[in-house]
Amino acid sequence: MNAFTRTSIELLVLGLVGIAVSFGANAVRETGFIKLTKDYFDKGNPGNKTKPDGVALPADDSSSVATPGASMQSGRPASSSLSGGGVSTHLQHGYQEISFDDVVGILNDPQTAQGLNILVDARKADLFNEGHIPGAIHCDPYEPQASIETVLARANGVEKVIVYCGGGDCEDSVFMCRELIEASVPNETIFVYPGGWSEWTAKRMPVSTASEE
Amino acid sequence: MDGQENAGLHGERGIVDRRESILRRLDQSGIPLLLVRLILAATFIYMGAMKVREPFDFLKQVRMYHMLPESPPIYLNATAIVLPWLEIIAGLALIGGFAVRGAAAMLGIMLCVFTPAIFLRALSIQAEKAISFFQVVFDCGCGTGPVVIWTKLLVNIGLLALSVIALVSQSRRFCPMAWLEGRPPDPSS
Repeated sequence: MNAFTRTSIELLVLGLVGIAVSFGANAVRETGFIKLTKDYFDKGNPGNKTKPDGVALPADDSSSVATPGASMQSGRPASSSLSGGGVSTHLQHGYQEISFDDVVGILNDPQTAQGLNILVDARKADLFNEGHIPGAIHCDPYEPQASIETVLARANGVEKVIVYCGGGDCEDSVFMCRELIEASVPNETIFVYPGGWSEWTAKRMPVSTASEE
Repeated sequence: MDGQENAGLHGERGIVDRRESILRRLDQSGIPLLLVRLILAATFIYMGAMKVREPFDFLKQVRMYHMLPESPPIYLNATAIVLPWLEIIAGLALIGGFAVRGAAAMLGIMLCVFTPAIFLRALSIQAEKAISFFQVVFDCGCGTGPVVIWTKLLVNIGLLALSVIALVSQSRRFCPMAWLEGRPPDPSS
């Protein structure tokens, strides 16, 4: 057997062993299980895509949905990047956005303390535990099963469910919105806070490290 | 004249032969291959383990290269599941001395795919942010978090060179597979 054939056979055997081990390890892991057929990057269908005032938006024009124009909106396209690195088209989505000022206003609203509005942190659990917006609930959009029930229990009948992640190019808040809609949270109550954690901390806003809010 | 030319040619050939002889003896000692195996194994087992530890981070990074279609998702997901383990398996094969050439070829192929992909992504980020190439920093999905990309590219080229060394080395010293097959550890020694 010449060296090329031998190397090819070794390569094939290692590849097959690697594939077998990888799928076996993926199947038995409790956290971090990747479902082969799930589209983790599907931004979901925000439903009827209506502005808060009820004006329907074109279903195929996601960029126009980015600034629905009401006072709750950030006033900048969803495709803009906090990092200033130009336009990132992958940040376009069909969900309503909420600005920093409005998030602050909602947090200071006494009704929020009574559960009228909730915040969902879509970052990784360790980042959430290091610090998050006070009152936020953690839910990982890639493994929502761990905490989606908590979110749903609190989201029932609320006025606004505000979802945020790291800010900038982070898309996890958008994927979290998809999970919420799939779990039957009404589309009109879901808002993405695009500035996210980076804007919140950059503006030196209060943070909480409590693991369970 | 012919005699002088012949003498010159013989002299040059002698130097080349001596160099080849030194390299061959060095290779036959098994030490260079052992070092190469250990470096490659440590690097890839570590990087693979980091990716296995945070599978969704790696999945997101794989997606950012836009090398695979997002729909159907099976391509991205399968890549994120399999690639880290291929690195670990290849690393374990190298450290154990089993299927050394196959493992080296596997790592070499991966590096030949990853390195240009990282380079192209770095170029696009450079163009997007209008910064110097040497200032481009991002998480390349290599398991090491955000890195200065030009240094990462140099490291990858170095790892590729080590993979080639492991692939072409004739030595079988310190390789248990050769012993198990009943072959002498180093046939040419």
